[in-house]
Amino acid sequence: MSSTSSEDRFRDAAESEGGAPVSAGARIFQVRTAVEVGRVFYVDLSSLPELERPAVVAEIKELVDRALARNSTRQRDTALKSSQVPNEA
Amino acid sequence: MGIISSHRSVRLIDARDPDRSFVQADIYRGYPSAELEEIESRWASARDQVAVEGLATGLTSVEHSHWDWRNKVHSVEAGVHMLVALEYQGDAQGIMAVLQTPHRSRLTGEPLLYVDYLESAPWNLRLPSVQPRFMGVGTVLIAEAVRLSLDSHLEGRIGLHSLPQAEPFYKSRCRMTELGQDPGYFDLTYFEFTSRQAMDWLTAIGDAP
Repeated sequence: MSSTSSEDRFRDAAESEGGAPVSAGARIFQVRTAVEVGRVFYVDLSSLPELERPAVVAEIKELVDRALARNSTRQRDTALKSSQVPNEA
Repeated sequence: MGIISSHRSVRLIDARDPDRSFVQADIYRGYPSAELEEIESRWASARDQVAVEGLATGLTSVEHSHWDWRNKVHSVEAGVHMLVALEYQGDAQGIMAVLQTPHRSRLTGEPLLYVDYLESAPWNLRLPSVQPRFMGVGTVLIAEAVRLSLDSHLEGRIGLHSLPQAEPFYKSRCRMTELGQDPGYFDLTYFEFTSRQAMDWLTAIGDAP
């Protein structure tokens, strides 16, 4: 059992923190980077009633999922066609 | 100042005092969003100084600037966030926004208090040419998050996404569990305190309830 007082223990903790960064939560930088690489985009839903917003977001997500599925089918077909090209040699 | 749900006295270290004496500070739960405007105006120019000084030491401005607390007014007023602020003689030294609705623990599936945003006042950061004004701001805020979790019947569990430069604080100083980068949240590293870890840490820093 340590005999260190609670005051001393708090002092140790506070001094070890010593002005180090402690920030949590995404900043505008992280959001902007995500937008730039296409992981996030903005749609202004402010004119919609709050209750309707989740449904609109779900529809957008469905559109993205469908586009992804189409893209993956296209890539598979292209790969299949390439593998069927007769060898000229 | 508007209506505050609760307040208690805490300690900070006066880093500019050669003896590094304790000063009494105050921590407020339910801090009014109306105060954010004032905080932002005081912190903005100090952030610019941190940005300039920080570039010289590799402490980029990214972590400390471009975070306008005034953007949080709406979510506080809508009841999504609750603000917790640490003041010394009426000046905000640190502030955090916690979600009013618990998140699920990624470790145990149990509900936890999620710390959505946390920031120390720019003058409390160590810079090459400037001593921090006060030490212990992050420690006091995380301790208060654990206490708030306890008071909300969440048994001290908390979770948060750390900015890259703050990871050593949550990993080594707080000894929270690091659960890796989160692709669902800007690739920031996610940390959690289990109930046991939270209580052990509070005891270790002499702040057990």
